[in-house]
Amino acid sequence: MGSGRPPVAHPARLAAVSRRTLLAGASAAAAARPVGAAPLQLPAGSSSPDPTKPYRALLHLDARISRLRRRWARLEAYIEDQPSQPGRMLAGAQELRDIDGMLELLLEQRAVLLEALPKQGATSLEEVIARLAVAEQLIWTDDHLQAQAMIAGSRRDLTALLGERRPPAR
Amino acid sequence: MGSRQSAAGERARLPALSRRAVLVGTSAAATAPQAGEAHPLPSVTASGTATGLYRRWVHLDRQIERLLLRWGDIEGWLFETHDWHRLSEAEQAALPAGQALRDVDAQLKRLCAERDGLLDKLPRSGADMLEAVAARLAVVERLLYRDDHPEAYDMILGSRRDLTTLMAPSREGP
Repeated sequence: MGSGRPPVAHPARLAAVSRRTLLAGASAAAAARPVGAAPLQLPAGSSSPDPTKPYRALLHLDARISRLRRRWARLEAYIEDQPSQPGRMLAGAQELRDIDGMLELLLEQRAVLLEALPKQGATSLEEVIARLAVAEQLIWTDDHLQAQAMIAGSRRDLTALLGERRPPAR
Repeated sequence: MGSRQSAAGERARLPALSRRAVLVGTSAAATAPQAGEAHPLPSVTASGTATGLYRRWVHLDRQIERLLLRWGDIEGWLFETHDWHRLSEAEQAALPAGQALRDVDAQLKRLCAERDGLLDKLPRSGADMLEAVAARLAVVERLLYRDDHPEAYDMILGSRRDLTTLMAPSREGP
């Protein structure tokens, strides 16, 4: 898993994906959107009526990226276990290149979206909660245990406070 | 705020301080409390429980940051004007500025110990007021290095400010 550990959501990991692409022998064409990939949906801009949508879109992208990285790691391990099956190795290598291409696209979208996310100016607690969820995701747990726990706690506290503020449902 | 990102606010700064302390020959006696300490710390109980703890931590962290800068200024001056690194311990001790350096050192040790001990006691959740959440985010702001996590840092900073703004209408009485 070491070499195949999928990059975590972080711009610095883009380089790792590129190295992996080279290792897998992918050409520039491999970076194109692979056939059969799910449609990539960019979040709505600032004109969106729901201000939490861009934040949720980023979390959604992160989840997709994580899934692809797990798939990549499993596939790589599988290929390494099949040295005597050239056919399977080739098919696996092709899928690795496909995943690489998808990852590069998703990471590019993620970088653009992250930069465009409003960092302040929220007019509702919902928006602050959504933003904190993204901040929580951006911080690596091992590096900032206390900070991440405080962000997660703040998000939960605000959610609870929001529930208290809302009028009871009829 | 940019400069403080690499100046203080992390436990990682403690070893750097220790190295400095070794360089200037700080003895165990230097850990004694120093007279004339400015900026008295805010009382925890005065401003509520959790919110007071967060604010106290931030105050300690800021004070440490100021002292680190002060330490660097003194040390730089000593190096430039007294060939500080060539002096013996006795010669260093004889200089008034050397004593000032040790005073700052002792204050830093005490404040860092208090700050790091307090960090473990800060509630991670359970706030029932926006004010407490905003105060907690102020702590997070200082725990993060902006250079390491620019987007997350800006989001925390913005969220704290937004909460302060959102609190304003609710403070107005009926």
